Amino acid sequence: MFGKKFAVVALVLAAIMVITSCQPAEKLAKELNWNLGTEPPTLDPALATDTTSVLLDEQLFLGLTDFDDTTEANVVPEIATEWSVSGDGLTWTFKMRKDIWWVHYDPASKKFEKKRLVTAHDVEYGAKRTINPETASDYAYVSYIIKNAEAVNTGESTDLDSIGVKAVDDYTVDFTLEQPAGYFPAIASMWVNRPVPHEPIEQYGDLWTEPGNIWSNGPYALDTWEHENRMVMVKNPHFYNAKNVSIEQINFVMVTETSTAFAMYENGELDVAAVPLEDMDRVKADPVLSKELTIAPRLCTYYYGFDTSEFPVDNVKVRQALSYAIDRQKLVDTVLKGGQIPAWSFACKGIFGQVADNPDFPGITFNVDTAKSLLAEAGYADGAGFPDTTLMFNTSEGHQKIAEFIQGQWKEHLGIDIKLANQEWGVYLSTLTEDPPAIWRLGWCADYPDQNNWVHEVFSTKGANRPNWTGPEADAFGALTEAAAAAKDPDERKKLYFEAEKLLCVDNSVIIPIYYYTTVRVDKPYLERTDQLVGGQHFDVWKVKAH
Amino acid sequence: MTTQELTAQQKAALRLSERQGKPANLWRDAWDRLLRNRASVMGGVIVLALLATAFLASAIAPYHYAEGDSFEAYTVPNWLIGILPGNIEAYAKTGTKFLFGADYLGRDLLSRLMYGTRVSLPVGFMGAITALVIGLVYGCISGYYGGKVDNFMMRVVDIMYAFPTMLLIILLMAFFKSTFADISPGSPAYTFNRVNDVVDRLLGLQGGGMLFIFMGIGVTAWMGMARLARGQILSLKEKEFIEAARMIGAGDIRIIVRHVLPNIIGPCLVYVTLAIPGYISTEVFLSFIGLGVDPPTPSWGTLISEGARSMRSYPHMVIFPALALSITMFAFNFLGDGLRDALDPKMKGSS
Repeated sequence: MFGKKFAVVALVLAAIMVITSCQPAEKLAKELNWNLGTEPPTLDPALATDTTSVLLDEQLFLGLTDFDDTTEANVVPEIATEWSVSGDGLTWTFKMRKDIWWVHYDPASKKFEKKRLVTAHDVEYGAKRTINPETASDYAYVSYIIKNAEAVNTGESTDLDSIGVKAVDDYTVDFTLEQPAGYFPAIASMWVNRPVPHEPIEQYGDLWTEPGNIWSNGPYALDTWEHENRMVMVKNPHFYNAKNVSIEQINFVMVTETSTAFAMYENGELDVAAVPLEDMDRVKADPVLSKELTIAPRLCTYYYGFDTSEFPVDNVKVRQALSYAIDRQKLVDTVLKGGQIPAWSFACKGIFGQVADNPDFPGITFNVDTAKSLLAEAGYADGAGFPDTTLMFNTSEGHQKIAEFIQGQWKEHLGIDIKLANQEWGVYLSTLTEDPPAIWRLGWCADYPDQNNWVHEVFSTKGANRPNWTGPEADAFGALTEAAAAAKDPDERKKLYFEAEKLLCVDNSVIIPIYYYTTVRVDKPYLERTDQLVGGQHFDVWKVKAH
Repeated sequence: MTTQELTAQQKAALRLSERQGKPANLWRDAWDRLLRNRASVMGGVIVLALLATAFLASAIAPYHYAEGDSFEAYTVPNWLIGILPGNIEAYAKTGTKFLFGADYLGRDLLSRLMYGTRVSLPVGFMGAITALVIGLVYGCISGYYGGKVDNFMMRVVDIMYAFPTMLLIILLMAFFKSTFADISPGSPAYTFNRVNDVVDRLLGLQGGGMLFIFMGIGVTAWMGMARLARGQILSLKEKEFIEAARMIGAGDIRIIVRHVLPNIIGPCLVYVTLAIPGYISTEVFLSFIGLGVDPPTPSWGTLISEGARSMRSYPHMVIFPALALSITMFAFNFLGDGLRDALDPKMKGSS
């Protein structure tokens, strides 16, 4: 009897042990729902200039190098397995992986087709295509560090072969530079230097990035692109690391209104959302949402720029007065509420050569008295006789609130009325290029964490020069940033950037730095994600747990 | 006997005795009929109250519409807390300083609503005036002269009608917004901006950009009225009394002004009153999508659009502007209904 009972107990115990030991593998969902917030201006890596396009290009096209997801944003290998620089610092040689395929995906039949391997010739073609003036890339100046790139891009030379990028063999590519640049591996990661396939570009022209036409080599392929509505990407099974890619499909929506997107998040239609300003307090107080909330620094700066050729902001005293009259801390505390840091320089913390947290920097901070006396010196005591001036921003609830706050600050502290106007992003960008308003709003995010990417590439008179900044001090600024780019000694570079920031933000007040961004977002608890400070997010390493 | 309906004859006799033998008068009769309609009296009172608010906004509003301290952003009035759903006390500032609460920059919502009448009402009335002035004149000329003139003028209206009204207004506003952003002296845009400044100053809303809204709405407001006036005149001008007037040598202008207009003004006025809520809602819609007045000028449309975005956290921001808008719509519609019954008894019951 005893024996039988024992046998039953043993059997039950064994059964329990078997059941508990073979726990099922972690269940994962296959889809990610993401809001782009806008129609992406382009998918062509040579033409991308904005964060949305860059995010999408990160999924479709691999760079020679990439940034890791730590706060240091270190350069790590991607297509390139290793790289080296010549003794004079002018020639960089990249050795490439031999298992990356150009893939064509047909959305109708849902079939992937391996076209051919990605070679060094594609890198050379991609880099030269960006520099070629016919491509009309707004980001070509990023490549001016490459030998002869500037001459070709500005039309001084028509010889594409003179550009310092050369495929040595099928899997080795050489970049020859104008001057030594320790940050070049970061430039090699950028979309403007990514390999692109010449076949579809030659076949379809501008339409090569449409679904069905495009060839890509990244972790995802383009399935659907309904303009101004939605986009779908599917996992590329021929991606070299495909077995580690967990999310099989990404559904992008293009909801402009952050409040709508946030409502979609609360309804479970989105897995990540930015928190609208008006919902910040509720999110912080809500027991569920507050756990999903992340506030983290970003390498971005929010600023207002001036068209320094336009009356009355052609007067540096007016510009300084406007900058002194903004209480940035109050803006952060009462309107933004996302732990942003008031700004007094262009580059933010985390960028090499920044002065954002340098107590010696004589940056402009809120000071009503200085603002008033500067405005009086400019001839508009207490705002009397201040002419019509327009502040323009791209249409968005957040920008509007900030603009209204600052409009109120100027009215309260200086007694001047500034008109507000807004335009949709695409239109706004072309307005800024063709006929910038007196005061305009933009943000800048790091493409790589070095001041060269900030003061030099954004405000160099060789670039877009949106502030229309000319004159001896503009030239001095240009000389400083160029000297800083060429200098080898880090301390020397820091000193030069200090002076450049001082010219830009204080002495000439060409821009009003407002705040350094933070990421303020909510993530669903079932999302396991990383956070990419530089470049696009790496969806391929994310996981969505079953929910 | 007491509950019995009066016959028509008895009613007429009653009215005659009320008039105490005074001769019948179109306007007086209409006024009497209007007063007997309770809904329209109520509508009229509300419209008058709104008008008074618009005129006196700067005197009776507790604060200026652009004045606010962002430290008080999103203050919810104490009395509302209990009524609102959710758990607002947990995160919102509360207080008694603002009757209707404050918006995202700490500006008093009640004051903004009051100043908002200076946008909504002028837009409604300017739409009506444009319709009356342009539409009536256009329709009268077209209908009275008839023939080729009529043919041509009405085809123009047909073409204008073929555009979807809202789309046309949106396109116009977008065009104005981008074209007139240029403020270099000497350009036509500069002149327009000066005129706009005068209009804004008259309304007490500096930097509002009201002229552009008037233009946008005015461009499409007159067409319906032109058709209505023409139709009325076509049937009138064959009547004997017009022929009689012509036979004794009256000129065209005299006939139109003295004999035709008084006979068609009733239906036209009714039409205009009923169209006013349409103009107001057009402005609200334009402001809602960001093509209306420029910030910080408050318009009910912008208030509703800001409120709708904050609805999930701060419902007070949308409740009051939405209430104000719907009450105004009802008021104008009731008043219009009453006016129709009063001025044009034949149309009673048909709408």
